[in-house]
Amino acid sequence: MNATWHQFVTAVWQIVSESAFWVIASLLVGGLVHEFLPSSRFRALLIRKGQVAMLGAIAFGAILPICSCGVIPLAISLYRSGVRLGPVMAFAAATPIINPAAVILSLALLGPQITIAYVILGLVLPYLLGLIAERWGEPLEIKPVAEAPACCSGTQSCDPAELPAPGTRLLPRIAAGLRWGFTDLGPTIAFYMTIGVLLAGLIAAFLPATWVDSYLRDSSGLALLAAGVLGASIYVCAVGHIPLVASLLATGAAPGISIVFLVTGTATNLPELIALYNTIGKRTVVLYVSSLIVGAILAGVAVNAWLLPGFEPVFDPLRSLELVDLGEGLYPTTGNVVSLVSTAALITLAGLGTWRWVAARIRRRSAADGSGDSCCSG
Amino acid sequence: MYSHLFKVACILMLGTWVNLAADAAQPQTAETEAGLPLPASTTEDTGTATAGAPDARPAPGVPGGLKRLEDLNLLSTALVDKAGSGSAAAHKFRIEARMYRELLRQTMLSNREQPANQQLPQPLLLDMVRMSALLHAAADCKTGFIISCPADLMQQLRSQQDRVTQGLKMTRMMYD
Repeated sequence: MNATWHQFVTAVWQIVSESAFWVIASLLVGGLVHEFLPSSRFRALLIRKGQVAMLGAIAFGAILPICSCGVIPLAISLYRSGVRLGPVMAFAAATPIINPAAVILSLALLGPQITIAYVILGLVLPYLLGLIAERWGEPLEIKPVAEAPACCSGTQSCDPAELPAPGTRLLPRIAAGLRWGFTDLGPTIAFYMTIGVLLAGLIAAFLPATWVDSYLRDSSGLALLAAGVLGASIYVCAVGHIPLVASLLATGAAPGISIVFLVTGTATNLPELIALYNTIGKRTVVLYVSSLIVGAILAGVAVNAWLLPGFEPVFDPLRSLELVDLGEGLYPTTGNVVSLVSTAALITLAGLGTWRWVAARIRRRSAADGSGDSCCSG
Repeated sequence: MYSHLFKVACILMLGTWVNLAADAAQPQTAETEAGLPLPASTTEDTGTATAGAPDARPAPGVPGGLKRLEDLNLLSTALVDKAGSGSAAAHKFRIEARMYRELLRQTMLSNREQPANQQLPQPLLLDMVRMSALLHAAADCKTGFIISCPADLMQQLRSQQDRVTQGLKMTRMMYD
């Protein structure tokens, strides 16, 4: 039992420390996006119906080397800046699935055929997910932060007329963007991520270590489904997991299963899903996850039909090593100190988010008892 | 900081030395093929001089880099154990994983210069490239200043390590 809890604590710490830097960086950029995008000429492009915004979001996402936790603040900032739901969800899917480092590593370790399938799926699936989200997802609606709107935090007024208008000076606007990112959006996301990280830690602790070995070696439909569902629940980073998948492929794992695991694993994880579920909308997230799993499984079946039987990845080892070097060089890694500072910042934001959530509950209960008053009730 | 730089410099120098040694061994190999007796100095150039030790001398058909790959396998075994211990210092682990890769690269470069019948099997080298990528992935799994790998990665590290060890044994048996 102690070993299991040790695994749980380790898994939680690992997910937090691995994603913390990217979440903080994404909050920073997200704050600036929220401040500057609504008044920029790009907004017209991004809110316009049509394919340009969707393709632009996928292309932008495909060059960013960010994992699925890191993309949440940026995606929500775009959404709250008025960007349509389709491009936002396409961006949220494309960013973690595909990036230059992952593509080169895949070419080095999984071979050209699987890389082609991976790239096509990494570009087409986000596009389809964007279309589905746009067609059937919830309409744009600005949701309150962690059930405690910013106006209730005691630092800002409820009256929209008293909210600071976007100024023309650069520095105050940057400060306003960062304030929104780190005091409004940050605690909300960190709070929901905490719930997701704890659940992901439980899964990591209680799931047998051999499940990857046992499920990824099969090529049946059930194994494809298991790889899709398990991949969607655990924390998978494309760059970190490609060597793992390569090792399995070399010993006879089905190529389709590898694709399903990589795509569902990287595009979703519980912290991300819970944060999106509570900020963008329940129906959108359910549609997103189910479409992603179904799409990845269909692609897995197609890849198996294409490459099986007899698939064997063959490369020139020296060339492969050179490509591995290149791929890893393109994926920035954070130093120990930066990682620890980011982790501390993320934990602080999570603490703030939790406190706001608890305070909002207490305030609501007090209001219901008639002994309290909410600034936002009117 | 400086000690890390020193270690990296040592690794690079060691790699360069290994490469030079392999190049130096090249004419001797040719001579061997020409029918001249194989001198003890052509036993593999790992830097752990074994000249004169009869049991360390490779059999005439054994590829030149095999001993070096076996040494690398010892290094990766130690690294896998460290990754699983949950107490390995992250910066040292990264340096050693890098050393594994650079020495593997040097071995493959010198292997390419060998005649076809003296070259190491490609599947074995590919397995070692995968091992190197897994070790690098493990080096990224740090919680603070120590290495702490998730269970699925640890499982694959051990499986891959077993595969490489098995491959080396098979290769050794094939040539012995």
